Amino acid sequence: MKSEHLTHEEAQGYVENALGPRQESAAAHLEACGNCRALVKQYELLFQGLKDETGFELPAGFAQSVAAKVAPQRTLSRYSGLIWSLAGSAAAVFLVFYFLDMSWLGELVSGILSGAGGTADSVASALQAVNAKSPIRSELVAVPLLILLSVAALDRIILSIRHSKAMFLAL
Amino acid sequence: MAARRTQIDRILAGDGKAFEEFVAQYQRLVSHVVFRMIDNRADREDVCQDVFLKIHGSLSGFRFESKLSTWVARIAYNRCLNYIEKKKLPLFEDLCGENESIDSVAGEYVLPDALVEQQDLSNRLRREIDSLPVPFRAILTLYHLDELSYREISRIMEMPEGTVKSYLHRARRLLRKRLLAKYQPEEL
Ligand SMILES: [Zn+2]
Repeated sequence: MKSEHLTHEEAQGYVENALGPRQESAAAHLEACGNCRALVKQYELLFQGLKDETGFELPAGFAQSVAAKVAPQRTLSRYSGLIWSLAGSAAAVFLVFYFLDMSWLGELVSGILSGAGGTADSVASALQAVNAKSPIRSELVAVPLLILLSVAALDRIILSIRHSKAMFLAL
Repeated sequence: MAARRTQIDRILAGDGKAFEEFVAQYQRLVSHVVFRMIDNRADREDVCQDVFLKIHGSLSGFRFESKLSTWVARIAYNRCLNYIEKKKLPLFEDLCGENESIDSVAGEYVLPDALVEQQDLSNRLRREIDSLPVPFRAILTLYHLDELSYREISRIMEMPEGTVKSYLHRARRLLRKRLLAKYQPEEL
């Protein structure tokens, strides 16, 4: 029968009944040794305290508020890009119409329509005619509009990449 | 397992109610890890929320190779490590002079009966736990409060089971010593 004092590791193991064959000889030693009994008792109290710990409570409604954070994001992420790019384009078109005299645009359209079924020449000549009349060159309108459109498209692409990357990097 | 799959499928399909149930199931585990590892009270709830948003974003990557609880706790643990790293907080404080010296002999003073006063004990206990290195705290909580095995904890914290075991022993030993030092008769 082993009558050595319990090490700290053994005292901890004894409390958890995890000493295997040493459990029995430790019990015999504890019968005889007040110091080791005290040690085991201390660890018993400590383990009980650790098991009963409180103070980790999240506020009531936590689950609900987290779920709410996720729900709108899912539907928004699907449509927000489209909505924003449409709104942005509409605003840009509105501003162009607001600040510039665009009466020539109608003429351009009718010019193109009248040349419908015609050759590229007729479109080019219609454009030339319009350019001659309008206070500004049509490219000056077309180019910013094209830039706006491509920025919107690029934005959507970047957003979708970031979204899939976030999913991918989760762990 | 089948029920878990259904729950996860529902969440992935955008079922908010299913995710709410999921959060309710795991918020205890997550709060244990987060509250234990994050000292700043003001940030704890935000970090818990961050953990669940992260989980939601990566649920499609869960492969059912481990227990869901282990996976959840691992994300919580990693998010806390990120937080600690970002705030440049120490992971291991200096434990010099805390090792073998004082308590090599079995206790000479018994913890007084006053310990039974639960409120007092749990307050002191919490203070002492909070003064331990972060990985020690996490292990204490996962083992004693969440009753996870060494194996599960080793997966969560990505360290060998032997390390988990030895950290746990050291943490308890430090706690006992520090609690005892404050409960010496002359201080009471
Ligand atoms: Zn002894």
